[in-house]
Amino acid sequence: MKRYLLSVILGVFIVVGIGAYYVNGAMDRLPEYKLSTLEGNPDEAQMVKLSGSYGGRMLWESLTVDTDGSIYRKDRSEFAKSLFNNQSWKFRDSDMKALKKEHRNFMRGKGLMDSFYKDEEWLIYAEGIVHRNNNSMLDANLKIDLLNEKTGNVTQYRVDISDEANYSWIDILDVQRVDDQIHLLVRQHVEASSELHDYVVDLKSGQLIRNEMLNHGIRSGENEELNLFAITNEIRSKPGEFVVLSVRKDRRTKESSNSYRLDSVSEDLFSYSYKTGKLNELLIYKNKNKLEDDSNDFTLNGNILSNLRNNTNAITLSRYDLSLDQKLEGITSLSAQQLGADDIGSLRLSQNRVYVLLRKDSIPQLAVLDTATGTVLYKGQATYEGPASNSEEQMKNLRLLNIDVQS
Amino acid sequence: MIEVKNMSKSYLRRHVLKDVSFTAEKGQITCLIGINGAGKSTILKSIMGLSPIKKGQILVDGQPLDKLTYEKVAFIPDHLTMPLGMKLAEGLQFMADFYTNWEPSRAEELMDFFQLDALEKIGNMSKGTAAKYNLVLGLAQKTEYVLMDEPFSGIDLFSRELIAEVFSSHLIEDRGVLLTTHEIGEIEQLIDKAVIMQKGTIVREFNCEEVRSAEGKSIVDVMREVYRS
Amino acid sequence: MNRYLKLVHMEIHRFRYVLGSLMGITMIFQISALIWQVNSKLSMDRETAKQFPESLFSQISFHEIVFSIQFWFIIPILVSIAVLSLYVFLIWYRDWFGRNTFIYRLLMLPTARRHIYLAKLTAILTFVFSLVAFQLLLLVIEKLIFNMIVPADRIQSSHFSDVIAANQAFKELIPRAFDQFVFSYGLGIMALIIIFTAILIERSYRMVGIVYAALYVFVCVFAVVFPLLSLGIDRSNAYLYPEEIFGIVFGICAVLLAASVWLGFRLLSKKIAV
Repeated sequence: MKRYLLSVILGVFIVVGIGAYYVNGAMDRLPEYKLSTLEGNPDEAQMVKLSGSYGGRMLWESLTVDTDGSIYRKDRSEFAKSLFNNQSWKFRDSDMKALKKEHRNFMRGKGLMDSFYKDEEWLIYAEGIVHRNNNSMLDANLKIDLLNEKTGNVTQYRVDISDEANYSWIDILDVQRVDDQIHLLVRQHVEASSELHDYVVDLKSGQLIRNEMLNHGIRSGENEELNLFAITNEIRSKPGEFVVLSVRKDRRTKESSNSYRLDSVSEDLFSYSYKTGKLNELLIYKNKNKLEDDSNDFTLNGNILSNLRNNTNAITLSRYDLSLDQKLEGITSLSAQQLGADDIGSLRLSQNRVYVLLRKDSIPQLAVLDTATGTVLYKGQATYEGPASNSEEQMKNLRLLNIDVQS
Repeated sequence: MIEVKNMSKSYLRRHVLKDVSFTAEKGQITCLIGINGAGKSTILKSIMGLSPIKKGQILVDGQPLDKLTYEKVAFIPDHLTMPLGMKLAEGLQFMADFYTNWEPSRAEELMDFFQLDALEKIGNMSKGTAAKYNLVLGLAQKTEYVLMDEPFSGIDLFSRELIAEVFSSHLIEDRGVLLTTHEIGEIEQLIDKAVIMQKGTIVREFNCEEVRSAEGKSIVDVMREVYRS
Repeated sequence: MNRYLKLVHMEIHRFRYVLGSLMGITMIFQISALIWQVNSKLSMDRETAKQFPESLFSQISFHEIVFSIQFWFIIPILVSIAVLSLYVFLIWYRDWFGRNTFIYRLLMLPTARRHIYLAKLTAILTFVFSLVAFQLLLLVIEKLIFNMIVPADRIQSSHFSDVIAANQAFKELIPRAFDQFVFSYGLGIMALIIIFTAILIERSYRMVGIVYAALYVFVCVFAVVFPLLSLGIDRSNAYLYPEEIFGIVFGICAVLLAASVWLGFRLLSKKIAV
């Protein structure tokens, strides 16, 4: 045995050395935090995860804090993380996760969130395809996959929408179903400008019933360009009658021979009803937001369009019912001080709740507000789970920046 | 008995060995004779599984080659096959570690006989000493057969005499010995059977005693016949 | 003790001086860089204190020092990597070339020849992991030295994970997450086995073998990389889900590993020539 001492020592050395390192690493616990209720109903904060980082080490350690406690990224498996990180944006959304789980095969190769429609009967996915045909013209097609959720049958339609306009590319912005008609909101690009169309396809036959160009009536002048966007229903797996279109006009200013600057000139919002086909300009938002700060955020939830803004440390939420065409109650300039904090970190609107990340004495707090009344339904703050003597120091090391709401 | 049957081997489409068959009996000294490049060493290597053969069969006591063959047959190549950095004693220890048939007492006896210094480094030995040490490694194994590749080439006269002495000692007696040489010289008297090779084929295989008594020819006479014809 | 372990020991024994030298070089580089860096910082502070007696000095932490002398820490690591990479080839070729051909002896040992393969593989891995373990030990020693040469009131404590994070090479070679360690070294072991098999292909077929060996390595690399590139792991509209693509790649790796080991064993027992 003595002759083999060198090998034995090396073997033991390796096992002990590397083993000790990883055992030590696994036992290395960073401070635990928790979101603790100050007032209100703790259920309101059940779905919320606050993310940020811990600064007590040389490198910041990312973590999430919720009502159950805190989870550090280092403690989640690094390898699995990198493995499934790809495409994760696609399935991070809990809606998409559920869809993938439920209809694994149908969801294959389908990557665009806005191309999905789901209700109790149908799961629909549409894709715009442009390719050059034999006559070197561009052919535009809509490819529609339908899954009947009751029978599990999959149908596929291909609708030719080519015309003389020669579209260079097409995007699907929204998919909805009205009875037996599939509505596809499509943005089509012709040369430098783009158009919005509502293609209506028969659910039963796959025939194109009509092609409605949405005429917003806004013209771009010289050195100006129009950018079209759609604000679609917040929850992709829920049907919605409306879509809100945003038409932004940008002015081009030439800065040098090969670069120019874009400045937003105006932004107009329109509501469009798939059911009635009515395009309606939302005058209350006309050119309003560009005068104010940039941090505004429109959300469509069913018939209600909400606009959430954090303006100089105060929350303003305006709500508008698209079907009634009237303004609803909202929140007006609710300041951080009114919420009992020093400043507002970030905001998040989900369903009919506003989630506010606050800071008081640089300690992160969370407030959950009712969208209609601004009432505080819940208020909580991050606390250090450990001996009170360290609490003050450990709280200084915690920075929370984002709100994630799992719907 | 070591049997080589219809062994063929080629390298880059050139025949190295062609249909070689012969046997080497236990208790006899069989000698593969031929000029350099005739394929003698290749045969020994093939018997030991150090060089794959294309066709044919090799049997040791009726068994094909496997790992246990190495406890039965010892091979003494024409050069040392121990790492240069080892001491002689370490080399012996290595052999003792791996071969169950290793006989330390025999190794000691041989080391004494050849007057080898166990503490010397293998890399520092002269060619003659290396050849002697090589014999120690091969003969201290209690094997039934010993293969030797050119045991006398390039060695000084006195060493050759010592080695020849080993051949007639109890160290060889009951074993079957298969050796190669290109110069028959002082071992002619020791050889029981001669196998003469030329260009990868066997041209004569004969029992020396029989040829000597029946035809009155020595091995060298037979060789002369073969190579002159 | 069985012959495989004896062979492993023999291989380790043959490399002991080189391994010792690598450890020595690492130790000398890292410890002298550490002492030099700490001393120059302390003497600089002393100079300042002479001129401005009122000045207050910040605390010094071990991981910051390690961070500032990364370069001198990495050099011996790179040397070790280079030497070991070279030895992956030498561990085989040294037995064929030179005045005496130890491979004769190895192949004639009364034991299954795969033990020779496995022993060489084990030996290389032992060298790699013992250098890794040595680096870990060295960091502990270096921290002790640091604590000895820096005045106690100027030491800012530092956590071991910070020390690892302070050096780019440590982050790669001794990753914080154990599964990443398993994954990286697993990939390394696979590469090692493929190279071993390529070497045996060359040793079995010589001149033509070089072509076969190169082809073999190419096929292996291609088989692993191609699905990663072609199946659209980074495309959201890829037909396969990422976990399926990784499943395929893992499957391919397992097949390659099994095939390489099998081929290596087979060449060694049937085709190899001295």
